[in-house]
Amino acid sequence: MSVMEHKPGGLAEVGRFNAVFFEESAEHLADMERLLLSLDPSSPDQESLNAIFRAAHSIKGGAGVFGFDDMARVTHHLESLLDHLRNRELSPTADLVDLVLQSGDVLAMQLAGHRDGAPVDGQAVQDIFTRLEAALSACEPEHPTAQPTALRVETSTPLARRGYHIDFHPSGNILQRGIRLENLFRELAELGELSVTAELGAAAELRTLDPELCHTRWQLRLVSAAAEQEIREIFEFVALDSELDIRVEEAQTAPQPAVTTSVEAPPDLLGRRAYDRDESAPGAFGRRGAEATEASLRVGVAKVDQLVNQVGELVITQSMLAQFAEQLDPVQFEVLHRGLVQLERNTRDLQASIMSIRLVPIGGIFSRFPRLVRDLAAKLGKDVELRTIGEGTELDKGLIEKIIDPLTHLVRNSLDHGIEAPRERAATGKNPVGTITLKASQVGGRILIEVGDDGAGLNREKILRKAAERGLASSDNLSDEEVWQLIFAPGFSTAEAVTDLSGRGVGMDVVLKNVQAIGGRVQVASRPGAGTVFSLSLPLTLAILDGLSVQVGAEKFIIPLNVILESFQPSCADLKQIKGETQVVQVRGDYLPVLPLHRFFGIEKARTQAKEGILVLVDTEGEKAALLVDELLGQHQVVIKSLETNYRKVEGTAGATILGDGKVALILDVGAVVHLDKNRSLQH
Amino acid sequence: MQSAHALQPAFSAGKEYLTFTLGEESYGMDILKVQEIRGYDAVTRIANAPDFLKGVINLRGVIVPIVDLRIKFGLGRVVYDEFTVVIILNVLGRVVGIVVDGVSDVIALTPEQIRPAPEFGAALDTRHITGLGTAGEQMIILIEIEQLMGSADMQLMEAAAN
Amino acid sequence: MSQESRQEPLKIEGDWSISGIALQHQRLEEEFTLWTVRGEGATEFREPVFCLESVEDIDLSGWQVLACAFRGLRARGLSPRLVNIRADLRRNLDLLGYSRELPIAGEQACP
Repeated sequence: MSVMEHKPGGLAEVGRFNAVFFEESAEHLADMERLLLSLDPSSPDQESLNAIFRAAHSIKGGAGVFGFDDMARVTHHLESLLDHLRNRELSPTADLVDLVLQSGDVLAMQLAGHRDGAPVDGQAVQDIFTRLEAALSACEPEHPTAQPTALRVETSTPLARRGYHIDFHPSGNILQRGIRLENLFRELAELGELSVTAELGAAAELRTLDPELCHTRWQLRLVSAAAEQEIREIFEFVALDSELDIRVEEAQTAPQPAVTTSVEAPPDLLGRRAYDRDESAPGAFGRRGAEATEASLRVGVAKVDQLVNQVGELVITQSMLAQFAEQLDPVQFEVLHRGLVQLERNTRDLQASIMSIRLVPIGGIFSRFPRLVRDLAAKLGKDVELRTIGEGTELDKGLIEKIIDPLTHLVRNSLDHGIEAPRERAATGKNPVGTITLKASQVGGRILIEVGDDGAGLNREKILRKAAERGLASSDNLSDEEVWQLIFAPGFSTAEAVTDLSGRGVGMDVVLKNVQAIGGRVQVASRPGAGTVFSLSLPLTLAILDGLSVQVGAEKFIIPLNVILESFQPSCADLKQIKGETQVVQVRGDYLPVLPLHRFFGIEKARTQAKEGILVLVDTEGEKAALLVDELLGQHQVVIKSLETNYRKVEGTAGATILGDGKVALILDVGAVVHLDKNRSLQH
Repeated sequence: MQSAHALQPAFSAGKEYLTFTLGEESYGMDILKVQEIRGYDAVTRIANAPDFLKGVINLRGVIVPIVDLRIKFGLGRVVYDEFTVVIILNVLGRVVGIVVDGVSDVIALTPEQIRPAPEFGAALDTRHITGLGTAGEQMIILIEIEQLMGSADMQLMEAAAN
Repeated sequence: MSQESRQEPLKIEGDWSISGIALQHQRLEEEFTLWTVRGEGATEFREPVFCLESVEDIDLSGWQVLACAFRGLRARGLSPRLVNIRADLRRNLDLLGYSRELPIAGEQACP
């Protein structure tokens, strides 16, 4: 039992264990910001005010429990201020909202400091602290550092008081995680009368005791008007691996008006009781109350990913069985066939259910933008309104994280370069207030996210001129769409073109690269004077794909089903040869280029004549082409495996998959293939 | 600690190397980088990749690239049959397979048994050679396999692609 | 009663929070053997007192170790007590619910 033995696994792991606090605090901060920005200053919604207060309160609680005193200090003041706000002793003026927003920023910075070791600007912390203090003393001169009172008031509502018995047995490592239970218990005490009894584990003996582990189990008794959910929330940061049992002592009629117990209610608070009581009434918790009824479980992402992988393997096994069974006589093996059909359905259902765990609504990201737009518009002297549509659209959590940066860049770009100054807008007869629209929707198997503005639109001449300056290949004959694509070329936006707002030294090429890295594509539509829309098209999930397997020479490829229009064997009459090598095929009056996959991938011994092979008609974001393959093999649901895990990105592919026979097949990125092929033939 | 001494009294400070042959030469690499040794399966070809990148295989659900070192260094006879050996490596957080002529042995060498590599004309870039060891009569060229696989001309990684 | 004890209090000093507890635990454990031997031998040592005057910091881990020691002493028929506990430490003790396991004697000075 030496001292040294304890250290390595002990305090060093604090960061990992505190993940729940970091995650939840970040959520609370985001909630707070979203609610603040949607607040109508003239008639603020009481429920929102309560929710904002609660968010700050939760962060304070967590910060206290985990010993992040710097955050607790700021939130303590912030909470007091928000308490005045929700009690209507203050009104949410623009200044006050700013102060609260900036306090949120400081907290986010402190959070990042604790979590990632990011630098914390001590001066900013001190400044915000001073400003909060000033704001507080302005509204109640006699109590310069007001204690938040509202939670206590609830305890003085005699009607709703109940006795709770709380059996709390935290996991052994809470001490090493830096959790301070005294702060947690103090919060409980703020809810009412609390008595705490610690029980030291029966086996604990001094000689063999590991002093850095918690060996204590607590029996707490709380008489309070608070709802059970409220009590659970106090334990939220430690509940994950603790045993927590909260029982309401039913038979117990709570001692009548115990107003004069350990917690005194300030006498001047009668006016507040009405809604505070409402707040603690069942179901009256606003959003939180609603969430609470739908019990949720926090599960590590790694566990979900494991499920996704396992179900992926199951899909492979299932398709392998199906492939094998096809060779068996359907009459003789009828039962087997029926069973396999059932298995396929079950597998798909299971897969869909598991994939849905990873899906989260995009609204979480959209809610970051009101703040960004507000601050940036103010800086640029522009009037901009942000509209968000389709917040409920769900996409993979992994994707969500990866589109934040590209979206932020596009929104900044629209604000900076798209929307004109108010006077300019008025001069052209436009509404001086510009509009930026964020819209998400599901289109087939893809998610479409649009960032639109009603600004000046892209300037064709300017882009062409700049492209020429930068030495990019361009010509005046390019279609508008091709000109717009130039802005995504590496090196198009340079330091000179990049303002501190939209730039941060990153160009649109990085946006494109980031979006492409997650299997997405970017398109631009723009009209002079009317505005610009950037559309990001993303896969629904990163893991599964419905695909058509095709044979080209000795190789097999998977073509994503969602880009396929049809496939057919062309007749000679439909095929036309133009400019020597290039072939086109006529489909219902349209002439589409024939794109031989063997040529693209350099595959030998494939069918080179379109009339001998099969054409797969594809449409990727408005661009159509006919892919020439040797043979169609079948339709499968495939699990997308990254080539980049152990290798690197391969041009024209969106990853690989494992076929029923255990072989690897590449998945085509049809959009990239079509684009690359076009560029290659342009060069010839 | 004590048990480790008991197990290998002769090579207390030694390091174990997997030796393999490429043409006439014997090479050795840190055994800790080796995940497994297996036969050569049919690979899925990758378009526009260098000729020594044979393609990718499915290794228990993981996609693994296969590099034929015989082609890369122009050594040995490039045939693929039931005797062809693939060494699956765990380097730089990746799983990569290499094709060699044959796997010989596992030997332990103490630092004293390793001589610095002279500037000689080996097929490998001398930057990746850590020294020369001997096993019996044979000279073994010790290579830093992780560094070799990560080098730009292997073209196995994104950063090295351009 | 404890005032009548002629025994010198055991001084609990320094950092009894999680950062220092491993060391304190080791020290206390060494003392502990000595104390039980003494306590079992002579009646004047039946009420050992732990003086907290020089504790810099103490948290749950500290109270736990002390409670564990107290329990061991009680099992040997002794009645250990805490003395000279500062108000802030006292509040912490109460809040963590350990005041029953760790009874406090009247305020008295360490010699």
